Amino acid sequence: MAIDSGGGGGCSGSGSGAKKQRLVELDDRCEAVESDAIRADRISALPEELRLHVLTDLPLKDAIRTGALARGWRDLWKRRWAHRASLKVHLCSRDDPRRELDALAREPRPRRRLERFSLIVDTSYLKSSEFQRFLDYATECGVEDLHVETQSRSTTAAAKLKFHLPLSSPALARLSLRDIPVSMFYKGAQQPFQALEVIRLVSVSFRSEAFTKMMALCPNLLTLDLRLCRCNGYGWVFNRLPPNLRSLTIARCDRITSLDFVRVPTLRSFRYYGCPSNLPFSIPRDAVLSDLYIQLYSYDPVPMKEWNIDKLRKSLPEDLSSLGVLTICYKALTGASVLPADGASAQLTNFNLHSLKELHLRMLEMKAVNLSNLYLFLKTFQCPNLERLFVQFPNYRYAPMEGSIDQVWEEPPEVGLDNLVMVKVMNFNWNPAEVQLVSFLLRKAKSLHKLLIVSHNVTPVDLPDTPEADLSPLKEALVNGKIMFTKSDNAATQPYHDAFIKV
Amino acid sequence: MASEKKVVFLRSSDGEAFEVSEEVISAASVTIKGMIDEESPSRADTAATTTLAIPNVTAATLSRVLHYVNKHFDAAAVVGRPDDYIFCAPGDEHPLARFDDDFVDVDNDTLIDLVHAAEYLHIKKLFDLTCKAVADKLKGRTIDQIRETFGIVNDYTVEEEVEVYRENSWAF
Repeated sequence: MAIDSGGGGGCSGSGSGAKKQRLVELDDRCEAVESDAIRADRISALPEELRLHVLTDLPLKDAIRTGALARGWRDLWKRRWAHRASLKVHLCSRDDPRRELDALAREPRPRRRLERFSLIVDTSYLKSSEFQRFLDYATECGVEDLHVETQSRSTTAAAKLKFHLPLSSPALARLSLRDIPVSMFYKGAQQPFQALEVIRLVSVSFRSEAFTKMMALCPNLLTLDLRLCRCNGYGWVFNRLPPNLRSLTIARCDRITSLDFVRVPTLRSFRYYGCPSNLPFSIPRDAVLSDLYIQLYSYDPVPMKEWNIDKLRKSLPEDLSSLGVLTICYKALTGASVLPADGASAQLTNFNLHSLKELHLRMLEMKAVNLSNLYLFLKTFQCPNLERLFVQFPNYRYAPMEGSIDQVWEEPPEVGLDNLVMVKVMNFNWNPAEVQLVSFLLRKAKSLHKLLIVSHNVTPVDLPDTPEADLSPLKEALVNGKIMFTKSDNAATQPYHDAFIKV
Repeated sequence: MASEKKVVFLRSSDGEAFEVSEEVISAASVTIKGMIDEESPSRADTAATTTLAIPNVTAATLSRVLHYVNKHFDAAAVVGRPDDYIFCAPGDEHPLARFDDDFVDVDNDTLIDLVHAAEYLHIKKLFDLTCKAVADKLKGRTIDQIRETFGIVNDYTVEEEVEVYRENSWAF
């Protein structure tokens, strides 16, 4: 629990809590600077050699974090060891494994201290025994951040490599694998990886038993990130997650359909990007999430069925009162907001998102029905303290809107958005539903400072379908400077969650 | 008189003089040993005690340093052979482990004064101990907590800060 032992308090305590808090408190910074300036910052005033000496007493993760303190600390940690503490071995040709291993074997013992070891296998001439020797070397150097990937075209070469860690890697804090099958994570009587906090697997296939074993060996794991992974064999994959897990990302793991979590009440961050037909995924009902990301494939031909919708709603945690950041796509919006057939809306009243500060709506389809769903969502999930809103529209130009704006069957909500100060709309196309949404926001958000619109057309397009009542607030705001149009995206104002979970 | 231990006086930046055994301080501080060695030819024929000016260290800090030095480097005061314990792994009980823990359990300003003093006086063990204690105050804390603890002002622009987080997002 190296990172979060003191991280409780108001900011959710997740690994990225600091970042979130920063987002929320940007406005307060000026005041903070004034009051802090009275106290002398003596640690930053220490000569560089002294600070470097202090940094050598820190685990890699804490050392990296000091880089975020202030400019004077930015890259200092990278120079804390006199020798090079990061090693990248790229095996391209037939002779490379032999040559690199010989060079490493010649290094004096005890081995140098190694923070990062990155092995990129781009040849099919690496034997399993040689592969193991590279990993053994990294462990002898007390590696803290280990990355292994294969780039070889020949998949059989990758398949024959078996990844397993050496018996004991007491310092390993982060493990990242790409295109490496994990058949047996352990070798013999394995010691638990006490320091391992982050595992990231991209395009990795594993058997469910191997995965379960892996989880059992990582009692202190905080972050598990699976992208494009495949699970072979029977059995539940997620039924034995480490007890203190805080962050779970599952992206495009279409072959893992049983997202059956047992209780991980410590979970604070959940990100899912995948197939709606894989639903239900079930987030622990008793988890108190601080950030949630739900992105469903838009090209999935399987429509959201009533059954899925119901399951999705039921699988949301009971308590969303700590949720600070929510990213949700239009498909999931359907699921989250459509009322049950019997109209029993009373059962949904517990969704008061009063901690929600940032909402990111990924409206990759913007028809009348989507706007209706959005209105319904805002009625069902009240977010009175929302400060930042990001809306992403489809990325095509001049797309005609299907269905008339008159078909928006849901009335705009009367809910308050009194704390909303910033709205950013991406790919604005002057589509009537888009215009109506912006117009709605201009009317509702009383404290709005800035409405940033990224659009190919920075001047109003004359659309006969758009009612003048919707268009005029926009024109007015354009004149008084409340709306800012740009053609290119501004890097400074970005949502907390990346738009897509990259693989 | 010859059998009596030689002492030196150290004068702090704010003018206070502290008495310490020459043998002990020479074993502890490379800097002071150098000063004494320089002085010694002129001292041989005089009975006067030497006073060395330590211009970079205040009385408050110097008295703490000498407390540490007397505990660690005075052979008579240390149980067993004076250097036995340095071979102990951290966490092992060595005779002065408790003393060291208490010694660095001080406020930030005092601790940083000690780092400076240990570096200037070139007392390696004390330097390592105090640097480790500073590191412990950085370990396992959020960025905001560290800034708060040490009064560090965040001078990043939003863009720069985002960049720093993105570069190694796993650590945050």
